[in-house]
Amino acid sequence: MESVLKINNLTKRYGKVHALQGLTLDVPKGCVFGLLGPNGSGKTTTLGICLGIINSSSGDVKWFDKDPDHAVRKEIGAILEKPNFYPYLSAIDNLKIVADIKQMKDPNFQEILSFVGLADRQKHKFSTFSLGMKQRLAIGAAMLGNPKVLILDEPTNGLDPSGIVEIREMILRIAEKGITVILASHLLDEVEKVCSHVAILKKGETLFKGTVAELTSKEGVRLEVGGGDLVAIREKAIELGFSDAVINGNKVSFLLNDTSNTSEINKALVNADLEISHLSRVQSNLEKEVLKMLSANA
Amino acid sequence: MLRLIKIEFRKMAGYRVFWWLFSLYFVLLGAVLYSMQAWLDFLKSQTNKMAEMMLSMFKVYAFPDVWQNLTYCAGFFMPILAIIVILSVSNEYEYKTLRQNVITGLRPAEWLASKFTLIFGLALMSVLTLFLVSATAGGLALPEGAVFSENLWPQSWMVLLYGFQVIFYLSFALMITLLVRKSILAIGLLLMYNFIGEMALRVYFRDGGSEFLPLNSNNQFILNPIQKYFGKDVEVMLFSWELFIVPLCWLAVFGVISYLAISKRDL
Repeated sequence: MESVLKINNLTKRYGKVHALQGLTLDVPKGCVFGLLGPNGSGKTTTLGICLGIINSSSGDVKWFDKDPDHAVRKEIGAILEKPNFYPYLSAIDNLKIVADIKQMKDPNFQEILSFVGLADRQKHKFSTFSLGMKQRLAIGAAMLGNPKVLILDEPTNGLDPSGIVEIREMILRIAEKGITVILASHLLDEVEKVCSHVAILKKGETLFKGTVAELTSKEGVRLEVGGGDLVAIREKAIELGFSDAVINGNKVSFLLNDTSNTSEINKALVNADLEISHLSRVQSNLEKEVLKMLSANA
Repeated sequence: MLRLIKIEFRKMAGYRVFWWLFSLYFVLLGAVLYSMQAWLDFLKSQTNKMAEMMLSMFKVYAFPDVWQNLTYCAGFFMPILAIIVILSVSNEYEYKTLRQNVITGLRPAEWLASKFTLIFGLALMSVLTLFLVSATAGGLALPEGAVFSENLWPQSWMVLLYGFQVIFYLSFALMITLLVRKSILAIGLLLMYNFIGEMALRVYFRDGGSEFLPLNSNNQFILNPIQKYFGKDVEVMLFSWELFIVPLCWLAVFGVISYLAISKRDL
């Protein structure tokens, strides 16, 4: 798969602190890529180096197989940490500065402002905006000039639930346009809803990189069965071929295989005169896997 | 370059503090320059006969002395322009717009060049204002029968020297701000160095070498006009290209340090 960003053996030291320790990553074209990790894991440092505002100690970064110079940066839209604009200027004046920097010939500000839902507030000063509006303006500014890649660093930080939904929907709409989105966040639930690929960082090292599906299906799908006689249910499950069946609290849990049919299992348990009160398929999610991975590497 | 001027103009046009300071500079400059004669008249009434006689020789607005008198006086207002530059740079750090500008695709060198367009713009406005004020004052003070166009130009090049002094001083302020990043610190350091630090260094280097100090080298162009009425050698008032050597070297140093401060440090 074609990569938009290749990071090779990247390190960054702040005195004796190693913020990044040989980070290597590939971001495939057209995906929504989640950069995950706890605070201080090196997400923002990585993005800062990729965007040329932080100097790396060693290693290299290539955007579209080119060095990250100012010309390459014009093909990338990015917001790092928080929306950074001139607070005393209006939304439209701030966008004009962005367009001037990108040397855009005929920027369509109205289209961008409508896309981010700020057309009616375009003449208002940035300082009067709510956090959600600031984030939306920042996404609009990053979208100016039809970038090939959009980088969003913690875009939902500090937003209320409706603001989070707005930003999530906006990211999905952007991804539909074929723009590669790189999203750094520690809100795992949000990332799972929008990302196709993830990399998990901890203390500047990569713990995992791959698709979200690869990560969440690593442990397979389990069936959880609740009922009157858990020992009998477990024995029946073993008899049906699920040798890993265990009693876990008030449920019996076992791993399903590719040919397992949940309704057939249910029928077999009922036909054995077992009282069944609960039956559910349980698949791991991003949050569980990430937390498991982080605690295993504590 | 036009693009950088446009970007900087957009940033400053909506910044109310800039317009307040900009107006304050020109109002103060105009007011003080036009009231200099009144101030001298007041001094004369307060001093002894000898001093009064000397002060009577001092024709503030008479051509060609008006150029040196007013440009020298205008030099005291440069810190106001420096504060504009300091705020413009420190705001970019405070709002993190410098890093955002670079992320968006501006080279650090272009960003620095855009700040120099602000410096050149302020210097140009100062030179034009000073020229107009001096020409008007000189014209009004012209003796009956004297031809304005004949008297206007001698020594008028002093306003260009003033323009150079402004560029130098504001570049110094820019460098300090890029190094310390905070407006209060930058203003404090600039004023402390200007009014205490370099004074102390001049005393330290009194036996030789003080002409190489940055602000002192910049002050060599336009000397205190009063001196010539108190027996100082008039020759020292004459312009010499050699005077540019030390300030130009310092300007290059300011430029290099400023560039390194934004290109080598993390933003």
